Amino acid sequence: MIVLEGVTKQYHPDTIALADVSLTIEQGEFVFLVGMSGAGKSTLVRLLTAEERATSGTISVGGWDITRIARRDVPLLRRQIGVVYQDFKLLEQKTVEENVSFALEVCGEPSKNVRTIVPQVLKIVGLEEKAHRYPRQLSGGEQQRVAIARALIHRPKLLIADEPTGDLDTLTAQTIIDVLMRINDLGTTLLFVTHNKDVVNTMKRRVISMQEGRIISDKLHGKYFI
Amino acid sequence: MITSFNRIIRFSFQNFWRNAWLSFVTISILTLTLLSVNFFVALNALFDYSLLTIEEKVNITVHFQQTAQENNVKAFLASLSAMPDVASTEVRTKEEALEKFRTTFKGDQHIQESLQELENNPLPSSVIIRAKEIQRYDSILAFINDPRYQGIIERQTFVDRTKFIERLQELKINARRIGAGVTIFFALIAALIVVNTIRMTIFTRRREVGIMKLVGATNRFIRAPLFLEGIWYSIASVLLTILIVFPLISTFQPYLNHLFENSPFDMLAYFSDNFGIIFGSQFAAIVLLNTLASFIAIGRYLKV
Repeated sequence: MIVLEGVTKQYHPDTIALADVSLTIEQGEFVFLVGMSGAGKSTLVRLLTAEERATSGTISVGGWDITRIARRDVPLLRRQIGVVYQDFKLLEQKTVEENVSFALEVCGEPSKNVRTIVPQVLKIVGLEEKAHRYPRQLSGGEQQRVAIARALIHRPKLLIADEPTGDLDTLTAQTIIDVLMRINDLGTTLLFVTHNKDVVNTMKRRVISMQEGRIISDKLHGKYFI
Repeated sequence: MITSFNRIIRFSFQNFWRNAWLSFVTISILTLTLLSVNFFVALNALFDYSLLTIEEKVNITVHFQQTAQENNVKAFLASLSAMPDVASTEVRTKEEALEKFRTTFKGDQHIQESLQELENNPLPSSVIIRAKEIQRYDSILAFINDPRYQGIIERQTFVDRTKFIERLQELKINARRIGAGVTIFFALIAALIVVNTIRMTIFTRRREVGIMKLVGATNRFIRAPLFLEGIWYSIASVLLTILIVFPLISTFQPYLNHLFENSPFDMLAYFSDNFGIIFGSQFAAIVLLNTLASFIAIGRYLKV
């Protein structure tokens, strides 16, 4: 699903965010990407969503080489990857339903389909009753579930969760993880970026650890050890 | 295509209403700018009218000699009227001159009695000449001073006004020059206000633009509703300006009537007659500035 070969990202001659990173994530995997602040996790996510370009190396997502992706193709890539951010990134002036449907509407999905798909996805994340509320009227956990619903609306094969539980209390964080697990069970590849030790250790999934822009460990049933 | 177009229109209206406070501030600033532009337009019109009124008061009066032959006078008048510089001629016979004199000094019994004692009418016949433009009086004057007509002309009244005319001409040229300078300066300030207002509006929405990009929206899909919003702002501010300008002029019209007592300037008619050009050009300018400012301002936040 994701293949990185010798990827380096250099901002200034003396600032290397990623150094010769190579990794492969298979379709349907649930992978934790862990590391301290500044380890290169967020840079890796930004390269996968084409917010930034690699200085060298190749990146492919779902068989699509996005290393030198053209600007006009970036929206197409983003419609195939679902991303959930720590700060939710919801449109404050749109309701829950509109936030979710927006992601479908931007790619010209017929209105009839939008009206059918959106309630289904809201049901998956348990927000069908709050469809007409605005983000400011929801709790942190609920806002994150809206973000997950939005990320799922295209039925992506890859879902990237960038510190999705970072701003949430333990109980709420667990509900978010449960939702993500259910999504993974349905076959979606999940890249879970976090520095939450407890979450990583209880799940016993594949753990890729990063430090100073390099992969220092890649264990199939790993633990958070940094 | 139609679905996308409908969505873009829907989003633009949604943004307009849901960012009500931002829309209110933007429209208020645009309206205030347009109001000051219209105040300037009104001031310009008033100044032009004042100059025109003064210009209209300028004329040459040629008094004919008592002994002048009627056919010579007629030939002179015919040649004069045929001149391309002449706008109008108004002939006043000896009788009309006497009648006007009587009317002017109606209350002066001494003059009235003196007139009755006179056997012959002492007042000469005359012609009042108005030029098409103030600078054309020179050629008319040259025509009048032609030696051919000195046998029929007693005197003309223009000489003592030459200085006044020169000053008026100078004032007019300077006024136009200063007016053009002030207009350009004012237009630049107005344009800067509009551009910065739109930049501010886009700046407050930068996060939203970034999020739209991250969920897969194309640049066109993000730009189009914002451009449309700019057009809604423009329509609202021009309509609001119209709704304020006309009642305001109606309120001030009596003062204008008082200012130009003999020939009042109808500002309301001026704005009504030039409605299309005044408000149409303002709308076009504001839409153009809006589009330009949006295009530049959004570009920065689309690089996500």
